[in-house]
Amino acid sequence: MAKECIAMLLAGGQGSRLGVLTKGVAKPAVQFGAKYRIIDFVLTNCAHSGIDTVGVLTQYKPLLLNTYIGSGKSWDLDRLNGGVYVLPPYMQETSGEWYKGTANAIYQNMEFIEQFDPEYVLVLSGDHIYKMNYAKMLDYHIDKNADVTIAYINVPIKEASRFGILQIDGEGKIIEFNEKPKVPKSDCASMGIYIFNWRELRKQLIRDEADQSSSNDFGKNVIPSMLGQGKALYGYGFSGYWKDVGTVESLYDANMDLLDSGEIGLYDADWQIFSRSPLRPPHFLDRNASVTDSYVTEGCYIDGKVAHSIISDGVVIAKNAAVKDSIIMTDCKIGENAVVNKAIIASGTVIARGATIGTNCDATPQYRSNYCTGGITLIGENLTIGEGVEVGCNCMVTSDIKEEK
Amino acid sequence: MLNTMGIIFAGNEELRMGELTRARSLAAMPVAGRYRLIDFILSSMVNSGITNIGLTTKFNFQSLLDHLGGGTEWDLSRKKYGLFILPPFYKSENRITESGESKIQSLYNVLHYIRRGKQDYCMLAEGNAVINTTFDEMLDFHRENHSDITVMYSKNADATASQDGCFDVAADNRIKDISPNNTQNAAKSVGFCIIDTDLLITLVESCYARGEYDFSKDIIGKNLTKLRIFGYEFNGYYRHIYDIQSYYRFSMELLNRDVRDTLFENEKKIYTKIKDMVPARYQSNAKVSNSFIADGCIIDGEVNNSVLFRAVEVRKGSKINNCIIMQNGKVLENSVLNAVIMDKNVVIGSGKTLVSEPTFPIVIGKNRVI
Repeated sequence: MAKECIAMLLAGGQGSRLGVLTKGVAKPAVQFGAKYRIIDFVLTNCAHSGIDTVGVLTQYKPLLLNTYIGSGKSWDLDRLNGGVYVLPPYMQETSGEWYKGTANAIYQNMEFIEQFDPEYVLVLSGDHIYKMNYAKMLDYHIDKNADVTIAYINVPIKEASRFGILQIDGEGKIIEFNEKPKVPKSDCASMGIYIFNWRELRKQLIRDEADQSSSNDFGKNVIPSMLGQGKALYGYGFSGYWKDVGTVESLYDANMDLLDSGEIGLYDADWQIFSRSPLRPPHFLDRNASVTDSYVTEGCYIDGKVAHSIISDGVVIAKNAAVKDSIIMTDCKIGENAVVNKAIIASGTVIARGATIGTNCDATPQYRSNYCTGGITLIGENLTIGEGVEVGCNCMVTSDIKEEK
Repeated sequence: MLNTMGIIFAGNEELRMGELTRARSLAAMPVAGRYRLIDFILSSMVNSGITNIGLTTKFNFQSLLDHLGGGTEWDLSRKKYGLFILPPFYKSENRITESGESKIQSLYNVLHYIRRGKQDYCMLAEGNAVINTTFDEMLDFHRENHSDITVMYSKNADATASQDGCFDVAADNRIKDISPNNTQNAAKSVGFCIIDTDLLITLVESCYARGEYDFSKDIIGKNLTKLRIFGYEFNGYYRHIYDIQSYYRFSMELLNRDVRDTLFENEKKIYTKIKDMVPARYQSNAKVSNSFIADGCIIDGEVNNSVLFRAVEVRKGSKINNCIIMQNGKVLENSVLNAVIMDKNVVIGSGKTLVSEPTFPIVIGKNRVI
């Protein structure tokens, strides 16, 4: 049955700027806000926008992402006709190759799209935290009779050079598009969300693929080329919470936004954020626990002090341990008298008794890392930080640290 | 245990829960912050590999239907077998015994379902037991002893007997008698038994024809010599929830780590309906200790020795002690609660005081505003 609009979600990026957090998983599968993963927000948007067919293009470390998405039931995307499909690169008769760029990833899955014979294709990326009704954007696209509509958000002009920048006329038509310009001409930043007329996109992808000089990227190649061909490109303004979580610091900030501003609106009954539940019992706060200004989810056992932090499922925080301004991911154990300050602790890691993370900022200069800015300390998954060990600020730890004898 | 079918009685004992079961069957009683009572036996059966499970219902089973849906969350939405919810089937000649519709009547009403199953064994279980176990060993025991009926019992001093009462168990594990002796060390029925399917059908038909509706007396008691009826001891944690006190006692036992670990920190999971909720939010005035807290809660007050279900709100200045607050409960500012069971969607206004003793908790019915 033909679909009006299907979504293609680009989830293959390594997210290398997240350092050790993406050592074992692709960026969209990184945990966020105690019980979510980054990709939940986009899949939730699809579900609430009535997009019932989503191709998830994976490439880098797809295992956890595949398992996590499963049948798509958690996002109401287990459908008789449509649903969620994980699409890794695959071999053709003569050759096979990795996805070269965002446009090439869609190019390689044209057959998948054809099966649904859609009018429109929504292209999404899996690395932002936001809530958006794509149905409204589609209405706008149809209304404008556009070939492609690009969602944009106004950003502070000093940050604009990190984005694809649109220049838009009074009708919403895009007159110029510059990918990461040194001197931005406007503050309208592309959100990497595109709606294409499928027939037009198909032509453009074939054309782009034939161009040997192209790096097969939407922002760098396809969009500027379409603009050059005089196609109808429109900008769709979005206002609301939108956060790129591509770096350790931005991921940290977006988590802290949940506590400080709550702007994303997790409690919106009409736009619940769906996720795959780990199915654990409620958490338990024991007699010595003190938990304030924090989110805590299922399966945790806390007998220590937690302030202004995000605690994922199954975390154990022992008596007299103190966790502040931190993000503790699934099944971590924080031992007695350990102190964790402004840190991200990836899942399964043990901070042994008396260890201190991010308290003595000058400690462990050997672990200082360019990935970690803003005084944040990042400890990788399934590690053990030995008893009494001190880890400084702006450090990234990727292997066990044994206690000092 | 593919060769065993499960039958759960979801509504045969609910007369003593008062307001809490007015709108739901006992098996649908919310427990432990995010579960319903039925989840324990259902998960135990699923974890034993039983894939054909029928659930007999009596009345007020709407919330049970809402909870179980198609059984997906228990892995029971299957092409082959799965979960069958068997609604009551009243016929004019159905007689109602003093204690309400009995197990035998329920079984008679679902004989069509039992006959359709191809399993040689049938596991009968009450829907109001708190337990996390598997029944493989009990089935082995049943086979090794060439047993016709194997009943499970517990000698745990803190457990109470199910409506089947207590047993006199001989040294060879044969049941000698249905025992009136309901002391601490008695062999108390857990309310589960394994019985050969063909035998079950014959017994139910003949009891029903004679108007004998007491499972314990008419099926176990009268056949102690004619049939090989064995007792299988269960040593683990088991609680029988049958009235407000037993419900409250069990809820408070959840504050004990051993109890939580036995029930939940186990490879054998207790499955339940998934509802997506925001993680629990603690605000700056929150002071929470010795409490079991589910997702979706927003806490800015003091909470001690309590169980908070999903999406409960405790505002600033309020003090909650020894309470059970079910889903969507709200306690506004500066209220003091001790030993209160709040059913779903109850709102306690600001500045209220509701104080009782754990031995006699106050129960506030669903949707009430105080």
